[in-house]
Amino acid sequence: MVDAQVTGIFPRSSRLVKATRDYDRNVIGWNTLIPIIREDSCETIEIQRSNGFKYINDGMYLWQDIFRPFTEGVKGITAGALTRWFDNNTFYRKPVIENLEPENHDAFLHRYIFLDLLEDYEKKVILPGLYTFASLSSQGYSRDLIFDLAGIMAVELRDLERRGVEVFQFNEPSLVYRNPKLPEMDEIREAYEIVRRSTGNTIILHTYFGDASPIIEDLLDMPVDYIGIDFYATEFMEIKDVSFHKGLLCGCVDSRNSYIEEPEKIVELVNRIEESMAPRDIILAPNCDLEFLTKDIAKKKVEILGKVKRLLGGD
Amino acid sequence: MFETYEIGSLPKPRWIVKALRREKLSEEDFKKMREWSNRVGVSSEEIERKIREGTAKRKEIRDFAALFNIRYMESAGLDYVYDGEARRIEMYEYPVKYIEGIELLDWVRSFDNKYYRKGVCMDKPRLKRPYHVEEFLFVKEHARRGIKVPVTGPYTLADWSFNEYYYHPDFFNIRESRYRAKEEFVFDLAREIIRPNIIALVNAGARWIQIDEPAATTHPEEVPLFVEAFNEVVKGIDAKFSVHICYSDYSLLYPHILDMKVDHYAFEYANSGNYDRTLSLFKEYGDKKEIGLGVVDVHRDELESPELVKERLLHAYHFLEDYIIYANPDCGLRTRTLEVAYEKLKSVVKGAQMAREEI
Repeated sequence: MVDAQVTGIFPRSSRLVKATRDYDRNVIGWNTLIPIIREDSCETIEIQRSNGFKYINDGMYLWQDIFRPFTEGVKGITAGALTRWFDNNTFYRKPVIENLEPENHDAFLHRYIFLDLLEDYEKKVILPGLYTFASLSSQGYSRDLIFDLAGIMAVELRDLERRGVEVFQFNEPSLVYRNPKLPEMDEIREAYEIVRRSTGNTIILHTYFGDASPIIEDLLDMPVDYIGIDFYATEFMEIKDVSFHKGLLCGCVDSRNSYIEEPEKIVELVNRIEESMAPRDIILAPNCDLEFLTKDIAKKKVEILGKVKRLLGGD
Repeated sequence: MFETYEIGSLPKPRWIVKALRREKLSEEDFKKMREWSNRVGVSSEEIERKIREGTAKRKEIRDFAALFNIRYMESAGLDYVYDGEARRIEMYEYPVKYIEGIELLDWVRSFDNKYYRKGVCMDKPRLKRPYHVEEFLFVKEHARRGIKVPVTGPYTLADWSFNEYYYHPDFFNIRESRYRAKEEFVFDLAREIIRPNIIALVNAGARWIQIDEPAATTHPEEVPLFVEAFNEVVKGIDAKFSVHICYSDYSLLYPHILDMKVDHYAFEYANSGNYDRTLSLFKEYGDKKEIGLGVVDVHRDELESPELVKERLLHAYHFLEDYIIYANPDCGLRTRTLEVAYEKLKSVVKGAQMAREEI
């Protein structure tokens, strides 16, 4: 089975760019801005629907970066210094973490998702990966921290599942970026066990910006349904002999270049993956957030995914 | 020892931005324009009259902005000045407009509600015309101090652009196909765009050129490519060259940067506060270039005192022993207010003077 999904924050339209600038300059207020944001979200939902995507994301228009809802909504986490987002010319606010209380955490994340706009669709929500969150925070990675974050995420997943979300994706670029010195994978796996126990719905762990081949077996041991691989950072030839006993989220469209991929080349990649790695099933996807592109180009990339899905008989 | 300079960009005053956009300036704007002009020693009478009448041409406004910045830096006491990049939108979009083969796209987000226009390389880059000579000649005509010209480097221009012309990804050899595409792009920019610009500047009389490469360490495996491209730009050109790289892990530059044909490093230190980590690299590798020491942080409004600047300079002086050290901010001051940027520059100058007296 082949499906297609988006993997992160969607770019903003020119109209929304202008509106957010006007908002920052106090030219317009929130009540004027929010309908424009919702309009972008509706358009992004429609782009996915019309290209045959089964699980739909709202474009994450209320997320200033992948951590920001948590720095705004979780007691003990605040937004810190502006920091470069891996090897991109984009930045995020470093989460400053002090005294987390996962046992007293109340679900809030639904306020950052346009669930009403997704009412008619099967819903997908994308979240910061537990290891990436911990390692990029002011504290840095520790066993205690990743377990606390897992506790908070578990509360959110339970709540979002009740609200109809069917697919949860955790973005974990830090697991593969420049051969990190990772702690015991057991700790990360145990943290994801906490998350796993909170929902029976689909969980994807997506890696990008780096080479997944050195830790591919560890990834396949994670208690999740799909592993995501960025095929612009991981050489297919280096993982082709891996027996992929989970689903594969196949990062086959490049979100960091405007180059429009040839569908036939992606089809060839997918065919080779199926032949040699035999994943349980495949989700075609951009390698990372499409927000590195302009909205027009992002739309074209989604259309490519739709076309590849059709070519592979995934309608 | 401890000569002073600014890295490149200065704040763009609201009254200049509004005048360039043909927006109506308030009386408060005119008042601020007059106050600041008096403070730095430039007459604003004529440009104010023309703005009020609606007869000010864009070139006249830009000339005024450039002259204002020159005097701003001179009155702060800097030894080397330029025009604060008054004529440039910013360091990426400005040069790209002069490059045939790179098309500017719509906005992409940098962070929060901040955006920049990204270019895409669609054809082999060709220079429409050298784009820094006119601004340099204006500075040369008016400056009363030494001149250092900032120029965006080829590696950063390539890294911050999409690359459709050279890039044809091969899923079965992805790293190689991406690296080769980047290599060709960077070298074409070095040869066809940046080098002719620099030759034109040197022919016009420029003697010190700073090549800005903030992306230099973004992809560690490409640092040798950054170094080779730099050398391609400057080879055989008789001028002093510095390289400015900010917000980076400078250890990633070594040992490759030892092969760079450069005279001077302008790195950032005050932002991290960890001077020894970078200074140790120079000693460890016996790298004897001139050091432009970032002694004030450009991302905070808090002013560094002249005493703190002096301490930082003397610390580097004693740590490195026999290096030539300059005093400068970490990076361009464009994100600060005119007031904060001015006070920071004055601290740099005063601190350098105090340090000089103690050696």
